[in-house]
Amino acid sequence: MKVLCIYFLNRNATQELAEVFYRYTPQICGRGDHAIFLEISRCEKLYSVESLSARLKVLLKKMDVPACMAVASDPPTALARARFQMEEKMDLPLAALEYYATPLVSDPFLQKKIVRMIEVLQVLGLTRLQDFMDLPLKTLSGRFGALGLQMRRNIEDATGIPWPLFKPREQIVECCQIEYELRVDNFESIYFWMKSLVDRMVLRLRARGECVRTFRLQLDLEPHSQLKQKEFILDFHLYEPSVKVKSILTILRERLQTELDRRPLESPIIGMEILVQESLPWRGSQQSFLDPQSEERREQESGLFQRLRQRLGEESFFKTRLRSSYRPELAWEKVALQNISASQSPRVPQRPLRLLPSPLPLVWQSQQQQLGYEQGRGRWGRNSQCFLFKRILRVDHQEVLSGDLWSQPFERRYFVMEMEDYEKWWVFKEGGRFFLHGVFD
Amino acid sequence: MFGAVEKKETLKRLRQVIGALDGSMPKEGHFFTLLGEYLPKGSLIEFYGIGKTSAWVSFLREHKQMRSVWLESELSIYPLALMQQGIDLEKIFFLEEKNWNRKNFVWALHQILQSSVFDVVTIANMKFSEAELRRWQLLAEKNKQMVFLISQEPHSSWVPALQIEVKRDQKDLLHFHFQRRRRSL
Repeated sequence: MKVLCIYFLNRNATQELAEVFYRYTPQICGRGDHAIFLEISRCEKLYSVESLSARLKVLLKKMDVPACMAVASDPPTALARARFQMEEKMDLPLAALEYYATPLVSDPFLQKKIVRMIEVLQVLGLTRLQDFMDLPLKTLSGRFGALGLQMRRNIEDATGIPWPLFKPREQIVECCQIEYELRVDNFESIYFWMKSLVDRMVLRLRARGECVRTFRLQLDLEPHSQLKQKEFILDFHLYEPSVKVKSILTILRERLQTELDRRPLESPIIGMEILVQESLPWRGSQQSFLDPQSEERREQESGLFQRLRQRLGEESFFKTRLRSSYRPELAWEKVALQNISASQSPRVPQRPLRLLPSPLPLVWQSQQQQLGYEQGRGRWGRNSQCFLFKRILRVDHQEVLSGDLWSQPFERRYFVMEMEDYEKWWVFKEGGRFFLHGVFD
Repeated sequence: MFGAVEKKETLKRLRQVIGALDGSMPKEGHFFTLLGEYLPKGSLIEFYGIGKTSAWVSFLREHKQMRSVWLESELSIYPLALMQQGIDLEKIFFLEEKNWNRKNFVWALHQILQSSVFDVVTIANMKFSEAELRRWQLLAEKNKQMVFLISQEPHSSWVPALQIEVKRDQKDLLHFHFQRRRRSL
């Protein structure tokens, strides 16, 4: 058995921190709010103790958690070594006895008892664990009861202690409280605090082998009498599930900036929370050997799509797919950005490359054999108020399109008209009137 | 005498820099058979006239592997016709800003060019200022993207590397007339 102990110099939420280390070993135990044990003998073939320690140090630095680490064959010794930074077990101070009494759980009631016991031992002139071990075994039960024996047995060998089952929380919530004096009320300061929350969220997700798809950002505002809403809530749905801090932060920044421009905060922020609402399994893989840039490209792509859809709306950025409809303008549809199956081109005569968003009424001048449209209503948005007439050179491809008999029946006779400047118009006649529907541009 | 020679040299250098009337194109580009030339990467190319969209489609058909995006305030390109002309709809994305919010449109274009996700960026029926065009040109140059401007009227600007007027004749053939061509800066 090999146990690595992380001893925090400040009080921390050990459960949330322990989840970050879940990727290295599932056997984890948090002791109160100041220590975490990792049973690392099973992952030794993947990580040496040195490399694992280095990785953990990086993670702790990233989360800005000052801590000490030590490795030993049992949890109490690892904890005592981490706390007192001493290698030799028997040279550890008597204060380490507390860890041998209740190695994996911090028990405040027992702790008081042990403190008194240590005081008595110190009065007797004992300073190290070795001194405690030198006490005759027979006298221990008489002096300190079952606790003394328990401690002695654990000092000799504590490898057989049963570990409680570690369960990551069902929902990932990262939150922080902000002091009023810091006056977090503008975008830059919010972003600063948000960054550390996203960092932690991503670390926890990665440890579980998951990536985020939907999450909620909640900013708690300082309450006052005129404040209508105490919370500022933003929901995010990622186009491509991600575990990259950079891409998540880019999306967050874009959205937050837009929202804050639209509805500024009415009071400073006193708390912040990120809640992961939906996560998907994530398969962390190595970069492709043959095409190392493909992953980077894909990330850029998903980031771009996300930003565009968020700012312009879901309907603004799309791919297209053909659909069967007799009406030419309904012969295609917008589809979401996932891969679309290749649709077959229907067997219809050549269609114009440019189709007007709505058919443009034409004016027919029979004497001059010319057709014209009002330029104010222009094909591509011109603003003059005159008519543009063009003489017809040739008329081709008469085609009748009709359909929608059960809803809005229509019958259109389509012509391809070559105009005087050799521009080809796609014109249809309906109800005795001509309409320009497209241009073979 | 010395001043005249110096002036001549300066003019020559300026012509080389601007590329006006020079005729030589940068070698880095994609060949366009209809034109019989390379279209330069990382620059703005403007097609206008009758047959401009067909010219653009012909180029894309020759370079099927390219991913492109079509930006327009209100979509007028017809996907069915694109498919009939041999364009893979899987490779082409569309962006429309129906609200006519120019700020959003410019922002989206900036994002698209900056991300370098697409090889070809096509902007239809939009007018840009000189500063905006220069901005797009710099981004395109940085990311080696081709930016096509499909316009009714050409921009009166020095920024597009190529301004090509397209004309269609009686036999339905496309003819190209170079309104402007300059080297990359």
